[in-house]
Amino acid sequence: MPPNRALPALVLARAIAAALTTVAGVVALAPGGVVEVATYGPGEVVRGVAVRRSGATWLVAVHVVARYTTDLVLPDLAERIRSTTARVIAEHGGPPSAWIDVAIDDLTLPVEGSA
Amino acid sequence: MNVVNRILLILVALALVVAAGAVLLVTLGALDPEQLAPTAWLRDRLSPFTDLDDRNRAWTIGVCIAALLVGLVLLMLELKPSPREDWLTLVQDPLGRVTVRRDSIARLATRETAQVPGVMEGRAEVVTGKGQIRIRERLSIDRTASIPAVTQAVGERVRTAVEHYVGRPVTELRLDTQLEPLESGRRVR
Repeated sequence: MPPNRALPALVLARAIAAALTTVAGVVALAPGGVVEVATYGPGEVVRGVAVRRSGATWLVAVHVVARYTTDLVLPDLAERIRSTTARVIAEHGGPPSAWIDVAIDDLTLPVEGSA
Repeated sequence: MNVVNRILLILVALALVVAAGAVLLVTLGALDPEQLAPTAWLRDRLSPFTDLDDRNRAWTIGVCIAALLVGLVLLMLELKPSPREDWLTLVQDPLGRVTVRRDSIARLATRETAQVPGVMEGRAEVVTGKGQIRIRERLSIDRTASIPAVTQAVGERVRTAVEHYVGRPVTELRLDTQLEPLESGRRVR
């Protein structure tokens, strides 16, 4: 599929955000710290996913809250997030390459004595 | 914010500080425009501030002080150590970067500590830099428990959990134990 140059960042951010909530180990998207990580559009903000175009490629930053389990390995979780994001970009006709930053902002811990 | 924007903001803040400072010095009469401005153009811009009436002088001084403060705050915010130091970079390759917030590692270490019998309270602090993970933890231990046994159990548990979690070795793990409760801060959850 040829790269879709008319693809709005907001549409892509929305799709990435929706897909990431289904990734095992991701509890929620996180809005970042001092500088908000978000994609802005008319009347809408997608927090936790920052998407912008740089030439022929997309620069994507996603911030998530992870769910801690004893078998959680962050590099593996990050890889799932990256591949999901890349798949969404490809499905939307994005370029084959994209720079994807993944940040684990926080961790939800199970209650004491469990997990 | 990207690097270009940050450099731009630093330049704007510097310009604000220099301009406000120059106008303030001239308005207060501390320096003449001739002493401050190397070019005629700048001298022409500064010279009107030498003979202001009282009301305009007060306003100018107020605005200059406000502008100076804004410029200094912007400079401080931009030049302070990067927030990235609060993050540990796990992966950096041509596809992008994977980072984890340092606090989340500390929370995990503190939580794992609480699971060890004999620990009354614990507080972990994680220091990262150059890809290293150093954990410093303070423990309050039950008086009836064996300190060597508890610290060994905590060390093994924390090290195992953190290394599994972040997928890289803990460079240093330091445990400071005491029998009294920890003075302040949050308790182990």
